[in-house]
Parts: sequence; C-alpha cells; structure tokens
Amino acid sequence: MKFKLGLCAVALAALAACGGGENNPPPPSTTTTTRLIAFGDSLTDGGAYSRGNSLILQSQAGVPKAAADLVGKFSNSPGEVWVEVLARRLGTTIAPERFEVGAASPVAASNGINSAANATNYAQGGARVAKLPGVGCNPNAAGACTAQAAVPLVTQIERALAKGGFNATDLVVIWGGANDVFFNATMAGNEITAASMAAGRALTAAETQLLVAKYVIEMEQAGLAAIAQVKRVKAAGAQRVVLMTIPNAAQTPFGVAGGPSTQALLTALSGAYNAQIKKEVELLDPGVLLFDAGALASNWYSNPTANGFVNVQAPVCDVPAALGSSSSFCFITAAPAGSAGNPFQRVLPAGVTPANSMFADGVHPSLAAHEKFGVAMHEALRAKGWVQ
Amino acid sequence: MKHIALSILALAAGAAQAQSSVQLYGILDVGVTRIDGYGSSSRNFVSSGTQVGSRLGLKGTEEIAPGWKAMFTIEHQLYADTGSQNQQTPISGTALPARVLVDIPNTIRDQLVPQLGASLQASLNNRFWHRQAWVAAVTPAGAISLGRQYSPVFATFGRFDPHQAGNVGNAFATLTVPTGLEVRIDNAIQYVAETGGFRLNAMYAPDEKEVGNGRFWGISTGYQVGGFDFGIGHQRRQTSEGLDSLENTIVGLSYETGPFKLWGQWVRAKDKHPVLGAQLRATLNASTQIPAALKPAFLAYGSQIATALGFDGSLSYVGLHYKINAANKLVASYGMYDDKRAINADAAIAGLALEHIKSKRTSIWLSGSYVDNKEVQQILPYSQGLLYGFTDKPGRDSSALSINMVHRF
Repeated sequence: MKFKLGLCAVALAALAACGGGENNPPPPSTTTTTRLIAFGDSLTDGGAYSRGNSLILQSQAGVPKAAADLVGKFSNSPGEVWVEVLARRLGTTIAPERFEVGAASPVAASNGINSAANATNYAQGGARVAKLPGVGCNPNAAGACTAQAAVPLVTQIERALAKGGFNATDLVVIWGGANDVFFNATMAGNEITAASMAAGRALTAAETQLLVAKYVIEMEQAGLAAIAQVKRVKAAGAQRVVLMTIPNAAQTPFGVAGGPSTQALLTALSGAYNAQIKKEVELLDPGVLLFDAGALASNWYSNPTANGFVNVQAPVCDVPAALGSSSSFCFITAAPAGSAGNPFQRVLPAGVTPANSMFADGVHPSLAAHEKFGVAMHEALRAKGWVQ
Repeated sequence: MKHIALSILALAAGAAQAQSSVQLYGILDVGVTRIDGYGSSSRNFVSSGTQVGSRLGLKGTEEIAPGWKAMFTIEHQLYADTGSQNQQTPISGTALPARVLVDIPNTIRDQLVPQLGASLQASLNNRFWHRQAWVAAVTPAGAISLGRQYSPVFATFGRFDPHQAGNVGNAFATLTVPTGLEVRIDNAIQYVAETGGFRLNAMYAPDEKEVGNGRFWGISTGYQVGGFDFGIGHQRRQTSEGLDSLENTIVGLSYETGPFKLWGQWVRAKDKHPVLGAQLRATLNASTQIPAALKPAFLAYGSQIATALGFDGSLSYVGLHYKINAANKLVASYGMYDDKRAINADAAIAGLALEHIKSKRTSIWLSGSYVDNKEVQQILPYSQGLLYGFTDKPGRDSSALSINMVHRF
C-alpha cells in the first residue's frame, strides 16, 4: 500500500507539473536605481511651493531674495528632506515639481534644478491620498484654493503617468495619509463640538466614538486608496514600490498642544490608516515594501536619547502665525537665533540644537529627523534586497 | 448494488403486487485522508465520503397502469466517521479566502466577517434528507418529479466527471464556496424524458419568497450512442431580490473504447450576485447595531464581499479511465479553472486514483490530488460533500492522499 501511495504522489507531481508550492510576488529584476519617484505630502515635498513662498517672504516679511529663496521645504531649510537623503545614498538625485501660489499645475523650470522632464518628486504639502480639498487650501466662496492647491497623490500619479510609465530601474515611494488625518480630525472635532452644544453637555465616550467611527472609516478608505496606488504604479511597470505608514500626529508639538482629547482623536485616525495598509499587505501582498515610518517616529519620540535626540517637543523654527507658523517659510542661518539675519530659528535652551531636535514646526520633522528617515529607508531597502 | 425488495408494502396492501417495490440502499465510504496546504504540517483525518458520499436511502416504484408509474427517492447523507449528518468544521474554520477580504475598511470587515462565518457554519449543517427527496409520476410522455433534486447542470457534470462527482482529485473543488455550481435544488419541478439515446431534463423552482434563493430554472439534454456520450446544459438562479445570480453552462463528452474511457467537459460559472449577498443585505438592513449613517457603507462593502465570493470563470476538465484488469481501474484527471475577473483566481487540479475492486459491493480506493493555486487562489482538495476549507495563504498549493473503502448495499 505504501509503495502504491508513493507512486500516486510521484505521478501527481508529474501531472500537476507546476513546481512551486507558493506563488509569491516576483522579486524585482534589478537593484539599480536610475530614478527615485516620490508621491506624497509635506513630509516628502522637495519645494513645490518654494517660488511662491519666497515671493511671500520678500513682499510680506522683507526677507532678502537670497535668504527667501532658501525656503519651500517643510523643514528647517536649507537642507535635504528624507527622499533627497535617500537619492544621494542611491547615487542619484530627485528634483521637485514647482507650483506658483494657488496654481493647480506645476510651472516650467525656472530655478535651474527642475524641469518637467526630470522632476520626479511630485509630493505637495497639504496633499491627501485621494481626495480634495487638500489641507491648507483655504477655499474661497467659489471653492477654489486661495493658498497651496495640493492635489491628491492619485492626481500626482496621473501626472507622472502622463509623462510615461515606470520601469525596473525606478524606485517609487508613496507616503500619504497625514493630511487625511488632519482633515478628518477637523471634521470630527467640528461634529463633536456641534453635537456637544446641541446636547448642552459634554458627549460620553460612547457618543464620541460613534461620531468618530465615520472618520475612522474615512481613514481606512484613504489606506485602501493608498494600496490601490501601489497596484496602479506596479501595473504601470514599477517593480519596486515603497508604501509608508504615517507617524502619529498626537506625538507632535501640535498634538500635545491639542490636549488629551485631540490626541486620542489623532491617534485613532492615524492608527486606522496604518492598520488598514498593514492589513491589506498581510492579506494579499501586492509586492510592496511596507516601511513602518509610524513606528520609527514613535520610537524616536518615546526614546529620544537612545535615538540621538535631546529635544522632541520644541520646534526648531518659530515662524510667525501670519505665515501659518509653517516651516515651509523657515530658513536657518549661522547668525544668532532670532536675530535679523536668522529670524525664524527658535531660541533653544542650552544643549539643544537643530541637529538634536526632532521637529521643525508643530508637525513636520527637522532636517535631522529627515536625515535619519532617509538612512533608515535606505537600510530597509538594502535589507529587502531591493538596492545594493 | 444489491436491491432489497421489501415486502412491507405488499403486506400492508394485503395482496401481492409484483410491479411494486421499495429498496433500502446505502453506501459507506470511510478511509484515511491526508491534506497538505494548511499550516506547517499535514492534517490527517478518518474521513467519510472521499470517493462517494456515505448515504442511506429508500427508493421505490409502483406501476399504476401500463406505462404509468409512481416513483420516489429519499436519501440521507451521513458522515460515517462520526455518524453525524452535518459536516465537520473545515480545516480553515469559517475563514474566508483573503482575496474577498481585501479592499474593505477594517472596522467594516471586522463586523461583516463573523456574520459571513456564521453563514458558512450554517451551510455545513444538512437536513435529514439532504441528498435527495422527491416523488415522480412516470407517463409514456416522460416523467414529472417534484422535490429536492440534482440540478440539470450538476447531473451533467456528474455524468462527464471522471471521478463521478467524488474523489479528492475532483476539479469540482474549483467551483465551491459559496458555490459555483448548484448541486441540489429545493422545491424543484422537473420534467425528464428519455428515448432512443436522447435525454432531456427541464427544471423549474419558483421563488418562494425566502431570503436568499429566488427563482431557478435549468435545462439539459444529451445523446448517447455506442461508446459516445454527449451532453449540454444551462441553468440560472435569481436572488430573492430578483437579481441575476449563479448561471452555469456545461458541455460534456465521453468516449469508451476497450479498456479506456475518455472524459472531457467545460463548465462556465458566472455569478455577480451570489444569494449570500441577498442574505447579508437582509441581515444588515435589519441590524440595529449599525448606526444609520454607516449602513450604506456596510451594505456596499457587504455586497462587495458577496460579489467577490461569486464566480466568473470556466472550468476545463478532462480525464481518463483505464481498466488494468478486472480487479483494477486507474483514474486520472486534470482540471483548469480560468477566472475571468481582474482578481484572476486561477487554479489547476490534478487527480489520480486506483480502484481495486474486491467484489460487486466493495472496492478499495487509493487516490491523490495536487492543487496548483495561482497568485490569489486558496483551494484545498474537496471530496464529496466534505469541504476542507482553504489554504492558509493565497497562492499556496495543496494536496491530498487517501486510502478508503467503499462498501455498498
């Protein structure tokens, strides 16, 4: 009997003639990277609004052109955001698309570093994954943005596809969702306030949760949209696609300032996005590198000393509220912090420097944090065997 | 099969009626089956129904007038390993394949999955006369039968299946869960005609306004001459909401010559609105747990899962019988399921079996199968009336080996 069973098994294997026991997504065909392509928001933005911001600084704050031209990234400029750190380590460069204030489309090259052809950093501050309006749009009565007109990652990818597809030597990074958190937190906050006023009392935890549930689902749908973008760029020829989780906005100076209830809301919303993209990859891996930037940032925030940070609370920049307190207007010079030559650098306590601080403003990472992100991403890509 | 003519009816009638008979019959098929494809080690089962479903049945005929007869069949299914009429829990429990769970917000999925699991669990429970329960009037112009009966397309499938609807190598595994080919139809009215090698089956089951199944109709026809047999069929189900549900088309052919018999068939399965969706929507609509504001999203994603559990593909299935000698028969088969949907849940299944015939009533079977699950499929081998569930990972291949004894009476 045993012999016959063995024969059966042999014959079956021949019949099936299919080889492998598992059909995992195929590995990338190369570890060479000629183009780094980024879709995202202010966490990745390489200066989409730099020209407009420079003009605003010159006209409204009297900043000389040479200094004003340093701004545009959502960090303590000048310096590299994480995707530029990564590009350097991969032996390539990545240039941003640039927008005029209020413009819905990128402008042609005007600063010598970018052009329609080589601009592969499509990330725009304020961008959501799939929906409009972006954060910071400040819509007028007609609904048009009066400030930064960030298009969703979905539209950024459309622009990239309009220039042609992707290929094996492209490395594509997708990092969105943070602005969906801010947008939905505002919506949920407004709804909770309205319901509370209507009831004439504070809502119970259960009542709040019921209201928040709708926005949690919104965040989960944003996560699904991000997964859909991974599949989309893969279908267009990309083999190496990185998708990132988002840092918990509760663990930022902005979140802390909001207090426990705001922090709980931000934690729920960013957690929903992260849990969704992780679950999708766990269920059916589309062949993506899921980089847990959220866990990384949380680790820095919770264990600063072990990670080379001294300050994870005070932002490096102190940009006036008239300029949105945004680090996209922030530049740092060698002059004393807070002096006329270095107006936007916060006066930090002794021993605290931009190099050992985590945040540039209320929500955005400092250049030091960007450097660490870029290095960590490079290490993750090497561990995955996607780059040398 | 040995027919046991019971004399109970004759005694009750008080007069000998030579043309009337009632037969008690049954099959016990019990063996040992090893399944690979879930978890890190093989799973071993003492299993019932590996080759043919274990059953106990009664059937009878009565001649009313020349050319006119009354007939009936009631057939109970049992799992002889435990004696239960209900199927054991599958290896994968009530888990659903990953491909139907993607693209659903976590909070909604987490609430829908237990409901779908409960539906799957409920579907493992069989009624007492699960296999068949019908009565028929046979006239010179054909027969009319009423009750729970095999669907025309499934009857055609069984006719052109090298494994006769059983065996772990059966490509029917590609058409299960919830179902890609309805086997038995409740509330069915069927017309059957057979003459000179031709046969015709036409079936209709009305919408009885229960949640889930709506109207059903099906038709099949065929012709047999010499060693050739040919059959085609088509059937359609609606949901109780009136949506077009499972639709099947089949073409089958077999040819017997000497010690060989060749089999081939093609089965099309299309179901964009599985009846499961109708059941789920009814449950969600009635739910008081889900906030009204979120109900549209729950209904939409519930329907998305239901549709993902549906079918749009075709099975091409071929096989061979070879009578080695009077006591041994070899069965080989290969089936390929081509999913036409974007998710592309393709699979191929190879089966090999040896029947060692000890007597007219008793056989020993050795059988095995290998399932090549493409990227997203998760099929585990299936045997008659026994669902083992799904592999634990999309694209993971699976296999089965079995030795079992089939004893008929």
